[in-house]
Amino acid sequence: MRIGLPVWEKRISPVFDSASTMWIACSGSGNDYHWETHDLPEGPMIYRIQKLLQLNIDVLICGAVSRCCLQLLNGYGFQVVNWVCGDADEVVKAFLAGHSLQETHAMPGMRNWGRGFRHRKGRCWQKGRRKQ
Amino acid sequence: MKLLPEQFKRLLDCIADGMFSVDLSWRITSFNRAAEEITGISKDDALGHRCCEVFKANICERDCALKQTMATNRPVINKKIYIVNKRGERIPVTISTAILYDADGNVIGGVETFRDLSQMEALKKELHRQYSFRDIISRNPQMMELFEILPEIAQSDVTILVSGESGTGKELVARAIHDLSLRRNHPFIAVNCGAIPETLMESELFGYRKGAFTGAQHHKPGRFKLADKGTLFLDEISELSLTLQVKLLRAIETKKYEPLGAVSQETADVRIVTATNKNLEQLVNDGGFREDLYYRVNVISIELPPLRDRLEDIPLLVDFFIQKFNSLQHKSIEGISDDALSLLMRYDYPGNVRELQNFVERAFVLCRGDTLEKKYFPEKLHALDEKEEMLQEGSLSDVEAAAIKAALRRHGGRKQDAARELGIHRTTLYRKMKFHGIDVEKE
Repeated sequence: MRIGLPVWEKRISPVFDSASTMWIACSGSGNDYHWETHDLPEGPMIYRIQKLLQLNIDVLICGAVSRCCLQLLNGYGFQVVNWVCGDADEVVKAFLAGHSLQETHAMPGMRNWGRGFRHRKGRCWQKGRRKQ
Repeated sequence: MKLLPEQFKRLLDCIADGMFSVDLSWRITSFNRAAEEITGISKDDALGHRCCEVFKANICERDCALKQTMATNRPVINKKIYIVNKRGERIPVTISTAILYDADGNVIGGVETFRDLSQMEALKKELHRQYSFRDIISRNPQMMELFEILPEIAQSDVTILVSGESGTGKELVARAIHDLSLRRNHPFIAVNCGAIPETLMESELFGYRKGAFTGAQHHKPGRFKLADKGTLFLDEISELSLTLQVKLLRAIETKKYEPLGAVSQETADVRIVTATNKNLEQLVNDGGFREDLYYRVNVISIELPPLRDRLEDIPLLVDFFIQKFNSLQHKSIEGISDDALSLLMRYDYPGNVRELQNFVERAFVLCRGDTLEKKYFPEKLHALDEKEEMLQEGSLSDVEAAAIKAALRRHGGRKQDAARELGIHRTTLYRKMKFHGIDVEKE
């Protein structure tokens, strides 16, 4: 499973729209993972989306993302967990352990605000729907 | 009178601008009421947290203003950025920063104020929304529909045919499509197929190799090569010879072409936008344009209306040209007089927007004041004026007399020339002048 996180100074970037680096946590079975690092292009959002498509991520965990960008991401089929903050390692560990990031790592004032999404033992669930 | 801390807090809560302060760890130490309203985050949720995770500005990561101020000891004033609020909306704001010191002059943190510009931006957008798209000015419904779909058209890579009379802005639309597309950072190359001699057109489009023909002393890349990864705009595509149409069709379909004298093919990674002021479908029926190429270039068709069908755009266009020529010619023309504008509204514009631009540019050169008056516009527009005055006269006899007087005025009293313009014999003119009591000397 490939989990993408825009990261700045080892924490989730505050705004996905202007983030410059994407870390990808590549996990196999269990909760072990290793990191890949990629640059994100500047310019129109479509360039950013294209890069994400190339990176073949399964889930995008990010901080604030503007509504228009979120619509684009959803339109391209990305599973997004937004309004998350904190240390990138801690966030990935919490996610792989099945915690709700919007409870444990919500941005200030954003607890339980975003889309409900949990990782359950190798399968991804979104509010009762299973991702194939 | 020194304010108590509680009074100071209440004062900060009264101001319309958002304000927050941070300590040296970039954690928020104060957050006023306006900051709560603009960001959607309550003071209790903000205090003690990292400012970037509360404020959520587009510059936090790459270009933080507070960091800059702390590093340089210079405030940032009215920098325009955007923040993402709780509802995911991008809120445009201007920010200003300052350093905070304690009583001993030590730096203890920073303060940032920010002003919500979303209302002002919304008003500006509303004012300009109907008026422009890139450099295309219009509030005509047909053009407005075009503005709506252009971004979508641009994002795909399909071939486009832009049709419309000469001077309607076909190249502007092609450029807008390029600027909105994923190819915007690559070249936009325009070719006027009617301006290049047929014998040179193939080498112009596809290039040639050294020695391909007498005089070919070096390799020359064609327009396809120059437009690589970008957009190739083929204006007046109807002027291409049938032979070249075949080669163009092959290049579009296979994405490969052969420069003259080359032994191998080259790849054509270009997006094609074509334009014509002719009826291509009619040309196909007449045998002047290949049907297969017509269907290839006409995947998406955009038709631009002539200016005479969108006269409501003339005031906007005149305004646009006035601003443009003011900056080009370093003048300060403020506008156009009502009767001059009225004159412009009555013309037919066979040359469309380009012709209107010429009228305004001419008037600019002649204008000595700060307003473009009627007298600075060409004679042919004044003829319309006279025609209209004639039509407003009472009887048929009055209209005839007015027409004769106007013709004599235009030709400086020369009866032969006036008669020719009126389409009557000179002797008929003499007779009518006598009937109406028209004295050449007086007129």
